[in-house]
Amino acid sequence: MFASRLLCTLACAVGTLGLAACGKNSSTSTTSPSSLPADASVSESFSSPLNVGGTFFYSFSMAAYGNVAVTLTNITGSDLPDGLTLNVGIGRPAGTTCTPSLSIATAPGDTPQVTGSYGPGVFCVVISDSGLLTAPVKVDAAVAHS
Amino acid sequence: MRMLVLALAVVVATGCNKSNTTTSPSTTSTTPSTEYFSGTLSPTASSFYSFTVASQGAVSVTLASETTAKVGPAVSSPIALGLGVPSGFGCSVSSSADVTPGLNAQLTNPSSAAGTYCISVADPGTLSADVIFVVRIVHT
Repeated sequence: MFASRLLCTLACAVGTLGLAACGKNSSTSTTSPSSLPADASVSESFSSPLNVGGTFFYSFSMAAYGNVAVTLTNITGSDLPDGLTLNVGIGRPAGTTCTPSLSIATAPGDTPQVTGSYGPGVFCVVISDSGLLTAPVKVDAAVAHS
Repeated sequence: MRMLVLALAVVVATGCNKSNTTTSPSTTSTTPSTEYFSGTLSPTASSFYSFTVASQGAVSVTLASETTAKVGPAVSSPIALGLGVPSGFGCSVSSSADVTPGLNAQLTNPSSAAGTYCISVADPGTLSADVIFVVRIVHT
């Protein structure tokens, strides 16, 4: 009985040590240091007409990984509905459009509504009717990026 | 019980050995991709199409077809074909040519870096009516 318990304890100890050793192997794996996104240093403002149900996009280039901030600054037109929002997104140009990786419905304002870290490469801001437009409008927006 | 100890030791040792296995580096060969950009071009108008080069390699662009209708006679009016990078509301063209449909690539870049590029088509001032075009883009 005693011998049996001793063997069992030994087996558990061997197993524990073995697993601990294996775990140690994995814990010694290293992780590449992640670089911090560069601050947005370039600002581009743009304006475009937007039709009911319409979409437009604006492309910009980033030389390095950095922060992007998009501001829907103004919507002008006649008979604008109360609480008007537009879909604003950041993505990549693809085909004849811009495929957003992030998009929100937002009202115009002074502070960026869509932010993220992207790059390097060519990216785009896409703005579209969220379903609330009743007539064509003029959209003013800006994108700040590194 | 001794067998149990032995078996457990073997299992643990085998598991540990697995973490020491090495993988030989694999070589990757990139197969070119073909994309088609088609649409209708009106007099004085232009449009563009963006595509992504996954790894450095050749890009070739061919105006493959230009007709007055989907099933209709070919048109020989030149179209301004450009290759560049999306910028702002358009395509910032770095190379261009006024071309008519052909079988051989009219624009080529033998070594384009990975990234996003665009093809621009525009009326160089020769169109008198809408035309339907097809542009073939081959890239890595």
